[in-house]
Amino acid sequence: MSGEVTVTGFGVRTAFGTGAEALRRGVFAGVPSFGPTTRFDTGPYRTPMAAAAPDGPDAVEDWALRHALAQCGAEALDMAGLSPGTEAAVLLGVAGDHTSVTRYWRTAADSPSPPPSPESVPDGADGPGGADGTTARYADAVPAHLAELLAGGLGLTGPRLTFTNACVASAAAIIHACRLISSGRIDTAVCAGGYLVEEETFGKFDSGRALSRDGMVRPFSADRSGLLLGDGVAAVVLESAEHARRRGARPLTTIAGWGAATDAHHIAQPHPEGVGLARAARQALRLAGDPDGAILGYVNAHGTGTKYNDGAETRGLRAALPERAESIPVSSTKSTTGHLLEAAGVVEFVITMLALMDGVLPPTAGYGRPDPECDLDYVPNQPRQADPRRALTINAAFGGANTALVLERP
Amino acid sequence: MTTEKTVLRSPLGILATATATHGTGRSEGATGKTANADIPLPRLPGFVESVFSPLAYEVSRQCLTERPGDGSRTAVVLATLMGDTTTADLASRRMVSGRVHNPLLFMQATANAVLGYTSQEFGITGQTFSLSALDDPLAELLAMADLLLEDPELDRVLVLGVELGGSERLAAAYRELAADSGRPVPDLPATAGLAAAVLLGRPGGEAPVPVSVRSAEAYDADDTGAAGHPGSIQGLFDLAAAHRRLLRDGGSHLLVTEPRSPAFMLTAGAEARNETENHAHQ
Repeated sequence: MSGEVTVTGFGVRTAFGTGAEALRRGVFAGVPSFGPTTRFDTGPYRTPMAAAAPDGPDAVEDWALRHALAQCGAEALDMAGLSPGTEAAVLLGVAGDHTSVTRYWRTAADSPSPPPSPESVPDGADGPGGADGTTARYADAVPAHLAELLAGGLGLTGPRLTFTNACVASAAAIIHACRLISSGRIDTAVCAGGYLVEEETFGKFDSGRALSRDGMVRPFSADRSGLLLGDGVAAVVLESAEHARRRGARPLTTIAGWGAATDAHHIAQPHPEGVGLARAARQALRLAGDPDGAILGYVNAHGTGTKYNDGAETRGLRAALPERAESIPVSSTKSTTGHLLEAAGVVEFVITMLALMDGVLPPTAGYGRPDPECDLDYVPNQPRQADPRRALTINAAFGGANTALVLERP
Repeated sequence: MTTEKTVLRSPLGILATATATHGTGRSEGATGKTANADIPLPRLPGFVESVFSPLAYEVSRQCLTERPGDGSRTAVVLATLMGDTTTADLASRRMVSGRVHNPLLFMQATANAVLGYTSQEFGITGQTFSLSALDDPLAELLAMADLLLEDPELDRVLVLGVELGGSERLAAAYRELAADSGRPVPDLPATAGLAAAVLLGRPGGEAPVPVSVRSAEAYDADDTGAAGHPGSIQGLFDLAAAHRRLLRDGGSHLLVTEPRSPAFMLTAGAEARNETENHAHQ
């Protein structure tokens, strides 16, 4: 690696609210954010539960994905001390705003003629209106369009690229930024990801019987019964260490290693032995100069709370860290945030970074009975004081894609 | 668009190319099957209703069969502007009409699913990515391959693009994109699909590489006509066609992808003419 990669700013938004303090009150206290969502009619589905921010005076004013991304991006830039006009890449992990697809077909079902573009109707009359006075449009379903909007809104002039590979999408965006920066191609990147709970995806996961039956997500626990979806949007500013030093920016963390690998097993299920995940983790640890994970103090797991994932992930971690897996705390913060899909990588990256900064490990909430398949230290239910120098965050996705990132406290 | 494009740092070698279309109306030419004639849709277990994944798999299969290699040292990158819109629209229309979701649509809802199928069939355990590329998918894919091939654990990168015709909803999205960019709206039949793949390595690597894609030249094509529609994968088809011509004729060729984008210089190597013989007998 020719250039060290640092993180100098972040913005984050989950069902707990906006910013790091909201995460500390929720994720780091082990308080799940699940409840019956009122964002759409959940009557047709097996559960009404999701980690969707509630309506009300304390809720974020609008839930258009474009606005949530812009807000987090602006906060990240502000924290990093960068201004509009900065030469920075924008790398996004997102599947597009599915509410625009629903809105189109609902409108079409009610009208004999094709629906008009939302830009021709009053703000807020059709689709979520935003603080900048613009309305989400049908093109917001196009993932790359959201990257253009984000870059344009932030006034960033570098290259843009959008990753759509499901639950590793925003982690893949971060890894791509690491490669671009470490190879000297760019100095700065804003990496973001977003998913907000909506009916299209909710219905698909319900049909796949992937959603938890008891309204909780209980990763690695014998009584786990599935995942629940959650709101998540985050942006992080990555910079070469030299660039950050030149402009006097304080690194929040360093990205010491990264890896990605594929299971070659199934279109939707993880490899039962977690082989791809293990390979990605080994790559990241090798790049970080610590192939045995000797100085690893925490793992933020993918931990979806499904039968398929959690046992496979445990075996993958054992394969990647044969000497150390049992002594490293592992937790899944999806137990409090829900599954954030394309945003999981970047939000969990921020959570992992906070764990290093604060010296507190977020727990696996909802943990009940031990599962013989899942036999590591999962930080059950209560946060833990710790002093990790390095942490690993891992994600996995449909298609057998796996990612791993090693973060280091400066 | 003021975005600066990434150019290639090192030449890329083309190991194989493949294209496939379905439902476009392109047919066999007077002298027989043309390179871009529509094909019957290949069946792909577990994938229904949409041409997206079958076409993506077909072009991947052709490249990976023509040039077998070490799957652990192979990466795959798929570019598609909007993904499998046929599946997305079908699922959405079922939902708004009150019908239950089809679990199979859940399985194939992301572009990643077909990459999982391809990786399983060909033992690919390297990295797989899917991208949404608005401006110039070919340039993005080549830049991505250039970057990935700096990873000492990789020898080959299969890049592919898929584009679908589609619903009025798709047309509405394209119209909004066109209004933003001044680019045209695509004109594809609703059930049509296009896919193209290129298997890339580094010249001088283990496998013989008959054609190299070299770093981009400064290029201003303002006078070459309008740009393609957003997310067009025509550049991949052009690259495949240029590759075929070079294998036949040798020499070099400037591949123009989009106006104001990098132009890629293709150069035929010494093996090119032998390669032509291989193609002639396949």
